[in-house]
Amino acid sequence: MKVAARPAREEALAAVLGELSTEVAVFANGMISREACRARDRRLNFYMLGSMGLGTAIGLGLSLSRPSEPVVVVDGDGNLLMGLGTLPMVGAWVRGRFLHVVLDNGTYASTGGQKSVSGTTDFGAVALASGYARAGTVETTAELRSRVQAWLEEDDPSLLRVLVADEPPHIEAPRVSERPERIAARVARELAHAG
Amino acid sequence: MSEATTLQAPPGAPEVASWTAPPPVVPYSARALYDLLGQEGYDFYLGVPCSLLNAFYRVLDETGTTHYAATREDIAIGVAAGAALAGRRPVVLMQNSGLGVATNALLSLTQLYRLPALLLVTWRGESVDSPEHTAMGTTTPALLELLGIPYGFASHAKSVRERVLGGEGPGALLVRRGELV
Repeated sequence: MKVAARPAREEALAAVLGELSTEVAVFANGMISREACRARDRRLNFYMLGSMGLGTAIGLGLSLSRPSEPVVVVDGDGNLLMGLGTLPMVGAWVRGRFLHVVLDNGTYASTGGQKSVSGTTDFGAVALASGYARAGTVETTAELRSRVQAWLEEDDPSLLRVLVADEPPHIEAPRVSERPERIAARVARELAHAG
Repeated sequence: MSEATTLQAPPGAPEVASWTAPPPVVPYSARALYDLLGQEGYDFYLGVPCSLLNAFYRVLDETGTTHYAATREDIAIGVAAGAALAGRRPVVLMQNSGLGVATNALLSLTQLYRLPALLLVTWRGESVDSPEHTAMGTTTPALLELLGIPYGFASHAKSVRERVLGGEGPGALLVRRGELV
């Protein structure tokens, strides 16, 4: 049986970004931030440059500070594994809309494709056991788009694992060129205006 | 401000630009510190507990102030960064052992993006303490200097208001045994 090819990471990022309007979104460091910036830069995108593993934590801080506003976190499997201890905190306190997308290619793609242990870890089960309200896995951009659309409306945290291809893109996305303090300032300004 | 006099670094401490001997421990009201932080706009509390912070935690409970328990200190720094992006001024409570855990987060997140965060860091191992605290105890002020994090002592918080509490990026108040009551 022929298995449909998994979407490329940037395709998945473009699909998620295509569903966003006023949501603040945090992108994990490495290729996820670089490709998100290339796919669709927005003032409400927070690009994590260092601090690997802390994307979920940053999203949690945003959600606790603005509980009635939605937050999107786009993680990678390596990032999620590093920050796994954040999930029980999200499960304990987040009651608003919190969509945690995990682009899972089973590797540390930004450093050369070394294997991660995501293949033997059930991220959905970990999330549910930590207090997330729902979790699931998608393998196509069509499923991804419809799940993002639906879950962005739901209260309580959701974890959506997206199986993406582990091949590098034809042309590597450039580093995020915006200065870090600018990245933070423009997110902060947008959120302040939104109230 | 005669908060401290310049002295020789204790044996074993890394060489840093300046070493200032800590001022004597003066018991200081945890409530007064809480009020001072409130005046400076701090309004978001989280961290990993230490017994030296019990008086401060009691004030948080008595005043009905929400505070979140973090699973790790670097994760607490990440949550604080998100809160800061949303316009809050976070206070992160931790033991100095946690300063080691949080180091990369402080450098590559809080400092890099110039986000406010006040660290309330207990100084275990400052004097006689259990062995696991000795090395970090010897290193703590020097580590803060190396990291470029302005710091003072909790009991002298008022005198370091501008430098430690009011700046861009992280600042730290060290809390010694008996300092917060």
